[in-house]
Formats: sequence, structure tokens, C-alpha cells
Amino acid sequence: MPSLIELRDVWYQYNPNSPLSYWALKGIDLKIERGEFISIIGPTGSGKSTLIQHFNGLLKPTKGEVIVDGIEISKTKDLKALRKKVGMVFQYPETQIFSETIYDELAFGLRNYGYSEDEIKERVEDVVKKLGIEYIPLDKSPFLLSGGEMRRVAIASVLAMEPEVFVLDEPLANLDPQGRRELLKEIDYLNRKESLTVIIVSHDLSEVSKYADRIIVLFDGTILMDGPPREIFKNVEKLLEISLGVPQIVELLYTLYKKGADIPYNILDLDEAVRVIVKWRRSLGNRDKLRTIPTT
Amino acid sequence: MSIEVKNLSFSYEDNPILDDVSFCVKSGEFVGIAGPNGSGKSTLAKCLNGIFSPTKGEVFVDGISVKDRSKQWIIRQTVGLVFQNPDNQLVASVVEEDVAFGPENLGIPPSIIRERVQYALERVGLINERKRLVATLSGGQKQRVAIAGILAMRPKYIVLDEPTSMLDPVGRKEVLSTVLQLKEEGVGIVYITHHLEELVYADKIMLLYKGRIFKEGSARDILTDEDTLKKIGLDIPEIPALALRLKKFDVAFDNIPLTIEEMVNAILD
Repeated sequence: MPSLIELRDVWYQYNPNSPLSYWALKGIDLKIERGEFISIIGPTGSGKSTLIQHFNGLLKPTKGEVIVDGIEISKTKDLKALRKKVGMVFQYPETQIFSETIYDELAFGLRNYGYSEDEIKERVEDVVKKLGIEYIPLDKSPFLLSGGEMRRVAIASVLAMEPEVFVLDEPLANLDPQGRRELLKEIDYLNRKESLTVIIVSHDLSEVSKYADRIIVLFDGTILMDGPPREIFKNVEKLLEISLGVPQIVELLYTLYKKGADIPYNILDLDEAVRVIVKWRRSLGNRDKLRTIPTT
Repeated sequence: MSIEVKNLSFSYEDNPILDDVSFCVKSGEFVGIAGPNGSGKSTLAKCLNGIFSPTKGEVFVDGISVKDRSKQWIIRQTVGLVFQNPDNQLVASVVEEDVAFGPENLGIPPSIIRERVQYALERVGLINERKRLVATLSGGQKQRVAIAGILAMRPKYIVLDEPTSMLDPVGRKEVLSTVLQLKEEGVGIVYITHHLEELVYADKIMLLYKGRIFKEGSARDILTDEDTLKKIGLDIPEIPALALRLKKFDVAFDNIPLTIEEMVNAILD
């Protein structure tokens, strides 16, 4: 079986043949397999949004090949089928809401694809459950919802198309901590229980790293790192250098390590940070030894 | 001299948004306000310079009530507001023209406007970008242009409503350090956010929940009070969270650390 998405030496140039031309992607090789939970991380201007727009053919590579489920996007005429496979949620998707009722908003895509009203009803009811908004009456105007609820409706409208891969560009921006946690958990659930392939774009490693099993770090149009979170966090220095936020606890442990503590710093959560620090202090035996650590 | 909020209540079409809120912001003071979505934070920001007028209670800016419509211009010059999305606040296409927009509207002579634009752009560290197109700036730079536009009005207080929520980590640091510098220069700061780690340098923090002040205290009081924060759906920052857990394993702290630096010193000392 071919990879779900494969990029072969993909280059993309904005404004070709003009003084404003520049290369946003410079030779991307990438394979995304079914069922993965991937986070694409990179500072502003690293090419994240340009990259994901290649996944459903919104952009076509200037050079190289993009193959989605065996179809090469530059050659296919059937972009409609491609866009059904690859569900794309843009930044601040709630700003694209326009229907008079939540139901119509969720049904809009399905109607465009010619589904029967019965089928649409079934899918809408299913998708509101998946995103934890089944308590909202579907005949209500989406514009009367809170920001977090509107975000969920917008995400649900893409999910209703039952895509094979779900791409979300900064889905957590502007949500409060509880809203962020809940939404991430719901997406994680879809990934684990429904085997939905998930790709989340973010500029912050802290939150998504708890869920993603693979992190791709983009920098200046190239893939700088690609691996599980624990491997990525081994490169704290580099991540900080290219101005990516790493979790504060990772930065803390790295600072201790640099000051001479024999301590791993590629940890994933708070409990692990506690274990690592307690174990390290016990290994020192007594507090006198602590003082011998050179403070550079 | 201060912004004084006295028993402020605000309702929107009979929906109570703010309920009996009182506090004070002095010159050179950094007041943090945190709360979940829908707690009334943004409404409160708009009450501080009279965009919204209190339904009950009072807001005094250096002694002048924001309800006094004849003093509107003075109040808006005294209290500058910076919003979440800089794209909604920037009006001109060139950096220095955008910063000049406010003072131009006040009818200030061009020579003084030039001085003010120079001053404001220096403060936010963008003087070398003065001729650039706003559209070519990064998010953090745009937000600093928005702050410069406010500074050019020479406000005594600046209210920032989630100014970093659209910015990447570098942009956040840029904005926060600019704000801290303004505080040092005597500007009163009201900083609204739900990223609590940005409030470690606040002189005091107020937690807003369902339109009321749920708790207020020093940064250390609030940012180490895990139970209270959890109750209103906010996350305790990672460093104090770690310290509270380490305490259970006999790691002694005189004070629960708030920053990486404090934590490193506490552990290595």
C-alpha cells in the first residue's frame, strides 16, 4: 500500500518571475502513513501553511511530486475527490461560518457532494457527538455561540465529510486553557479510536507534543527535524535558536543539565520531570554534593 | 494618579457581563487580569477608557469619570487600548504613517508628531523599520507597531487585551519585554491574558470569573494557587506546578519559584 501522502523533492516558489519571488519550500521529502498523529512545527515564515496547502492541491509544487493516496496532485483532474480525502481546517475557521443554523453549516459540504438528507442528518448527529457539541440545539444560529463553540462547529463541518486525513492549521489559537485541552483530547480520540490520520500545524511544541507521535520541524522551507517528541526534545538548543517555544520544564531541565547536572531533559510531561529531578537529587546523596555542581 | 474602578457593573442587552468589579491601577504599576473565555475580560478592557460606559458603578481616569462624554477625548488619550489582533488596529500601509495616525487626529503640529513617532518607534525597537510596509512585518512586529501607535498619543496607562495570543514565542517575548520597559518608565499597565506565565512580573493579578473578581493577590500568591486556578479553568504555569509537586518529595523552597531562573537557583542552591 502506498503512503497516504508522499512528497518527493517538493519545491514551491511564490511570485515566480518577479522581483518579489521567493522559495517557500526547498526540497521537501516526506511520507505520511495512515493513522499517524503528526504535528508540523516551525517559526513564522518557515513554510508550514505552504506545505499543508500541497496536501489537498490548493497549491501545486513548482518542482517535485505530491502523491495523495496514489494520486499525483499535479496530474489529477479530480480535485473534488482529493479534497474529500484531505479535510483542511484553516486558522480561525469560525470566521468562515456563514449559515443561518448550525445544522445547515454542518450540512453544507455534504449537500455540495450530493448526499441524501437522511445520510446528512446521520452524519451531522454523529459529528456533533464526536466534538462534544451535542448539547447545542442544531437549529440555533452559529453566530450566537461562544468562540470555542464556533471553532468546534467549523471543525465539525470539515469532519462531517469523513476525510481520511484531517489537517488543522493552529486549531488551538485563542482558546482558553480548558478549551485547548478539551479540543486536543477530542482530536486525539478521533485519531486513536477512529484511526483518523491527524496533522496539526502549530508554532508551539508545548501542548501538541503530549499527543502527537511524530513531530516535523520546518525551518526556512526545509525539514530540520522529523521524529517522535522525545527525539525532538533532545535538540532543545537548536529549537530555542530557531525561536520555537519548548515546554518550560524541558528548558528548565536543559538549563540544569548545562550547569552540570547528570539529568535527561527530553521529557514529555510534569510527572516525568518530577521523577527525573527527584532521582537525580537522590543520586547525589546529600546536599553538600549539590553545591559542587559548577554554576557556569 | 490612577485608574480607579469602583463597583463596576456592565450589562449587555440585560445580560450581566461584569458584576461589582473594583480595583485600582497606579502609574508604573503592572496589573495582570486573567480569566477563561467569557469571563468578561475584554468588556472590562473597554470599560477602562470609556468605549463602554458602566451600567452601574464608576471608572475614574485620573479623577475624571468615563461617563463624562465631554471628556471622552482626554480619557482616550490617557488610556490607550491594544487589541488581540494587530491587523484590526493598524490603519496605514507604512509603519511610521500608522504610528502618526493618532496624533494627527489630535491636531498636533507636524514637527511634534515627528518627534512623537520617533519616540514611540524607539520605545518598541522598530525605529529602523519606520519606512517598511506594515504588511511585510511579522506578527510580533505588527503588535509592536500597534503599541507604538498608542505610545505616540503619550498615554499614562496602556490596556492590552490578549496582545500575544496570535503571536509565536518570539513575538510574545518581544511584546512582553516592551511592556515591562514601559512600566519601568512609569506607564500604568493592565495586561489581560490567559497565558498565566506572562504574568510572572505583574505587581498584582486579578482572576476574573463569570464577571466577578474571583481572587486577587501578588503574582506569587495567584500563580501558585493551583486549586483556585483549576476551579476557573486556568492552568497553573509549569514551573510553579513542578515546584508544588517537588515539595512533596522533600525539596524545600523558601518561595515557590515562578521562573526557570528562580527554579534553577532554588534547586542548585
